[in-house]
Amino acid sequence: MRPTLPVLASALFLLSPAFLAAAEPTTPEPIASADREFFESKIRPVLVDQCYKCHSAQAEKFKGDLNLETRASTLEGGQSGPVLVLGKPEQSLLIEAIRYGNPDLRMPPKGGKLPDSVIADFEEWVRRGAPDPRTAAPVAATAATAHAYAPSKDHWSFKPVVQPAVPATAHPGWCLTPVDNFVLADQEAAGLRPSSVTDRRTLLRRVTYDLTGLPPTDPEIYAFINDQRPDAYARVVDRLLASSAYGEHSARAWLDVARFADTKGTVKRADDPRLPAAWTYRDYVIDAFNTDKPYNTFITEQLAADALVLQSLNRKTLPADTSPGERRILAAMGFLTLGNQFEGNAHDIINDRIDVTSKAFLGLTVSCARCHDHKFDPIPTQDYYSLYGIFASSTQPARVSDLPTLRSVADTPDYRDYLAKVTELTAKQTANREAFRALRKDSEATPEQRRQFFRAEALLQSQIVDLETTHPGAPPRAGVLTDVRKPRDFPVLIRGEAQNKGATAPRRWLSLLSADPENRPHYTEGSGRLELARDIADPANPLTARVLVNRIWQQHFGEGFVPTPDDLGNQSAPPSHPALVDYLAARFVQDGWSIKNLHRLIVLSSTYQQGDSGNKSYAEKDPYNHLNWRYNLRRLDLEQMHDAILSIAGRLDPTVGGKSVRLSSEDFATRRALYTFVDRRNPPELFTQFDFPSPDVPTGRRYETTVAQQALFFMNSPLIIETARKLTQRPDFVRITSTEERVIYLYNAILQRLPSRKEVRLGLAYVTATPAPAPVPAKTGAPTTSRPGRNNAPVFARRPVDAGPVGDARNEGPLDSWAMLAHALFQTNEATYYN
Amino acid sequence: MSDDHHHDHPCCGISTNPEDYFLTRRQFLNRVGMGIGALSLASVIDPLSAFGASAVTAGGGNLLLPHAPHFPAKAKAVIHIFAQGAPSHVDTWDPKPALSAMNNKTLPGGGVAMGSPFAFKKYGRSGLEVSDVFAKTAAHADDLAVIRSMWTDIPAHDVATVFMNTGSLRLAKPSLGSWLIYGLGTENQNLPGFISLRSGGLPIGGAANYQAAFLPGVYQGSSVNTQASTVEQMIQNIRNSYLPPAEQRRQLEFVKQLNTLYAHNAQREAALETRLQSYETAFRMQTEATDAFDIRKEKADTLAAYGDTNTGRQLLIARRLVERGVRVVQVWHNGWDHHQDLEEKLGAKAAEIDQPLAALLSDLKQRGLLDSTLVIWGGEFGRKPTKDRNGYDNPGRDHNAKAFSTVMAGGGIKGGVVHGATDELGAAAITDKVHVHDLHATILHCMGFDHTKLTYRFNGRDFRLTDTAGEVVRPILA
Repeated sequence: MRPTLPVLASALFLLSPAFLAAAEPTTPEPIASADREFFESKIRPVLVDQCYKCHSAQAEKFKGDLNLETRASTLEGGQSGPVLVLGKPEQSLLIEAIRYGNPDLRMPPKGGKLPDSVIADFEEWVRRGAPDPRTAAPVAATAATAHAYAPSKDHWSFKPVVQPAVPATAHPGWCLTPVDNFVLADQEAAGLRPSSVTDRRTLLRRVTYDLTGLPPTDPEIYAFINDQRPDAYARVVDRLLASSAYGEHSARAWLDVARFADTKGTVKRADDPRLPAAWTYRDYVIDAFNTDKPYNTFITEQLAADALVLQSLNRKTLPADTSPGERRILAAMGFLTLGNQFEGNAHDIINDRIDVTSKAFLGLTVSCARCHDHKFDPIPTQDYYSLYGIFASSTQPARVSDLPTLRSVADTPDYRDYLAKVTELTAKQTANREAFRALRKDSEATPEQRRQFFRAEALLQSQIVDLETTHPGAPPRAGVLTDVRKPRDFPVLIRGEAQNKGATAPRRWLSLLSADPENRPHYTEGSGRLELARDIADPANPLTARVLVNRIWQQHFGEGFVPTPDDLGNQSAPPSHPALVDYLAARFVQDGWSIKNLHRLIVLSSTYQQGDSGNKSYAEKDPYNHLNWRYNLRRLDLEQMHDAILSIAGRLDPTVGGKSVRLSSEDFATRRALYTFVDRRNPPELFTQFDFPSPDVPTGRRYETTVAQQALFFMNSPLIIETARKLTQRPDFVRITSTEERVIYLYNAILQRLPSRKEVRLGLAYVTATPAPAPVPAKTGAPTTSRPGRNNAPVFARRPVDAGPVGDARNEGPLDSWAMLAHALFQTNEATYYN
Repeated sequence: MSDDHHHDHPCCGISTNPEDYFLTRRQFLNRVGMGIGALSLASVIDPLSAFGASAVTAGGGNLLLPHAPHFPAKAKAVIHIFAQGAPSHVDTWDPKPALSAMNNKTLPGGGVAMGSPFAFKKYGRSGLEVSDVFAKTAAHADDLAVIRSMWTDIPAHDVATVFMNTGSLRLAKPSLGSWLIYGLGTENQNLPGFISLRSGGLPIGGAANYQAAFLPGVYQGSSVNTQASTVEQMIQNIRNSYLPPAEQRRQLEFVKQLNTLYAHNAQREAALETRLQSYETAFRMQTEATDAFDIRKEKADTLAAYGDTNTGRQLLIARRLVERGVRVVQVWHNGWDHHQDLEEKLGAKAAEIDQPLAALLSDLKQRGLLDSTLVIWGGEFGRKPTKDRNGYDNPGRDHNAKAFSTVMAGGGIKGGVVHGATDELGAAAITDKVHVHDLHATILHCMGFDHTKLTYRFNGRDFRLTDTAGEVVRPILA
């Protein structure tokens, strides 16, 4: 188990040079080295952990007027007088307090009595005359405690990544990739052993869900089971990484981080809430993962594709005839532009862009520094306004039809029709706006005039967006930002108030991450977004690679090294495998920022391929499996569940990309869930109930809730029930005459495994007991004595049989016993989990 | 494979003889009573009875069974109306004549003073001063306690909203509602103990606002979209149009058998156990929720009193839930972020809640439920006394973490009380300041808990809602 934060923090402190420097030379009276060691190992950590919270200068709530931070202040005592009588523990108030004998004086007041051994240490310390080297409170002591607010730059993730050596282990044969050496070394240090490798079906189900978000198909299962080549598993991994489903699944995780949605949230009066170019960003992300776009390029394009294109063309503005290849990457900037529009409030929009940029790439919450210096991380308000200037020096086209198109537009009749209509609407809009402006020149508009203007404006806006989203001739567009003509620096707004201007904050990199914070170069290329992107993607940036590596680890194990993927700052828990994070981060950069290679390092490891030894003592020692001695049970997320149901039903439309698809509450799309149109203000109810994150905040890790509405979905939704029914209406199911084999078929289809004999028996019993008419062919009912199919032979290859549209999920009459069995299997825990 | 499956009684007492499934009610109950193993349902209702509400709780293993708090308390349930977006206190519950006198003048600290466009009047015997925008609620002045000295840590909506609900700025911690049902269990096993009512999309911060975090998953709040007009739309899939209850019950028992087999080699037993419980709640909800959420069953004058609006329906549902033993109802009333057009927008926003809130208080009182129901209205922070920094024609106010007002009524609360004060312009709480942790401590106290003792051990540490802080606001207690 990981040490809790305070313990670790004090341990860090003890090792920190700051402490040694502060304590060593200023000791007033020399104390024996044995006493010093006693104090440092037994007393100080307890004081720091248990007492400083209320009894130090930096305490949140300074209590009893007692400061235990230095020898002098400790001897001075507090409200109740001196707390130590040197040499006499029995007369010392401090000892009385920690012994918990006096109900009115119990310290520490919360969390219970200290262990007897600790109390004995304190008694011994007082007996020795309370030897204590502390003079002034060293800064590091408080900065390193969990409750200190002075933001420290000493946090692990702010320090340069230094690739650690791969540790040796006692079982080198177990180590398939360097990941294993790190994991095993930690396990060996803790006296744990890994679980053995899991069976091939389980492994295939796991890795297929992990990399593609889909369950393996029947042919895939049997191909793997029967593949005797030594690299069979590596081949599976290559196949999965090469499938377009990989990019789709990876994209969804990134879209959570990019707070992606298809609408603007709260809009300016009369504005249309839809974001017609949102889907092109989504497709860009899918494509980036599928082509394994180097992560540093992925970063740069999302922040400054416009500048990259201009640079490659050597132009100052984007010409209309930009080539399609160049334009494609413009869609990347949806990352910045498709957030909530906050009623058009520029400050809030910029804040959102700073927030998403810093959380997504740096694992930092820079937006906290909008009104005051960051409370927890060393990010001064100055730095916030440095970034503010960058985004305030960027602008986006006012009209949708002014957004650059992603392809050169072919002169088709559709396009001509679209163009004529959009031109007409735009002209009307301009006329409406000018008329209102003219009217207001002379006098204030009456409420009725205002209403009229806004009504006309709203209608035109929605007509234009209708055209852009539905007209067959409307070209796909990129939600770009471009630089303003005269980029400039902005002043700090003290407490975030516009009237309260402070010093100018030059556009430049964060001080925390700069090599020479005092002499940071100013950004001079336009708004500075490209320079910002380069600083973020700089291999020397300690955060970028660590943050990404942590996200990918989470994708494979359910929890990252650090459990808060969008915050690796001072407030985050220490990493479970500090050396491994750094190793992977360093490798990642060396490997050309290849995310696919990073996946390989992880999923080809023995660590990843483990089963679960179910070792009870391990489970007690390390209940959260921080040492990775088994594979974690994982729940399917919304998209995995949705897509798995479609896939099992044989109804999954494999089309990649394109405009978002509306999902009404009744029916079910046949496209993967990530193509569903998401209204930022009102996501589909099904999504909401299955933990789809709020698109207003970057979310690197979803909450996992278990509520009754989810159960109701599995129990009652026509989608699940009709899918179950369709499965049992497939010709290849209907043809099966053996009831046992029918049970096997359903297990194989729904849970991607064969049932045990007991499960077959239970299934048959359930089916037989079902009172509804069971239209089972005549031959059934005569149970055979054959065993379930051998584990390495295909029982029933899953064929793409058209079993009727799932989208049309209406109640189609009473269920027969087989449909009920299939429905029951969909409701099992196993259908929703993988291991 | 045996050929005796007609007589086979596998592990959980489920007969495979079809004849057994044409049950009488008594047979059903017998089977349930004797057949179900240790891992299974702790409580089961009789699906064949006309009233699903009569839950048969068999005890043991059900974390949601009601239990007594630390000390006897009046409040048994909470309705927390979250005015999300940070309502302006100086326009609602905290009159500032000095600010009106300074209207349009530049203040020494920066910014241009903005007097409230709304008038305040005195109400009730207590003479509580309330803005005209809450005139109807103010008719209950003598039942209200207004804390005018609230303050919080960070004036950003997402952080502060989740903070108000969980007491945590950054780490995922259990919500107030989850702590309460962890401490108290719930009175009605046929409905979730903690229900969050929203109108449309998720609140900012999403499920973090009603999460169980590290508490067992059964304490998680259930979110329901009350914008929908029918129960079937509010709680999707509340009905099964395929199977009669007895058949569904049998199916669930079968599923449970399979789950038991699966649990052999699975860890995260707690997660799986939670899922099992969620199925049980879901099964029972099918009867109970259709009734609880169906406000058409209310009398016409009750419906009229709450008003046929989203907010009216929300509060009426809230009352129906509390009446049925739901412990915590969180009601989201979003849209209080008035940076501009404050006069128009705040007026309209308050009008949405004023009548329903007044109706709720009257209704609870009339039904004798007000004494046992703690009603809370408030947002995540307050607003500045100055015009918003953006300088719009029709101004609003900017965020302010240093001052806001929270209103409480009912269970354990003294009426007609004002607690604490802001400075003369309303910029910051100065007298008897009440931090979010203090509010939480007070709510827990009203429900019978010492906030320092309602703890849960996680990762080797005892956690509590109020972290290391919190003082009960005693002057507002009855």
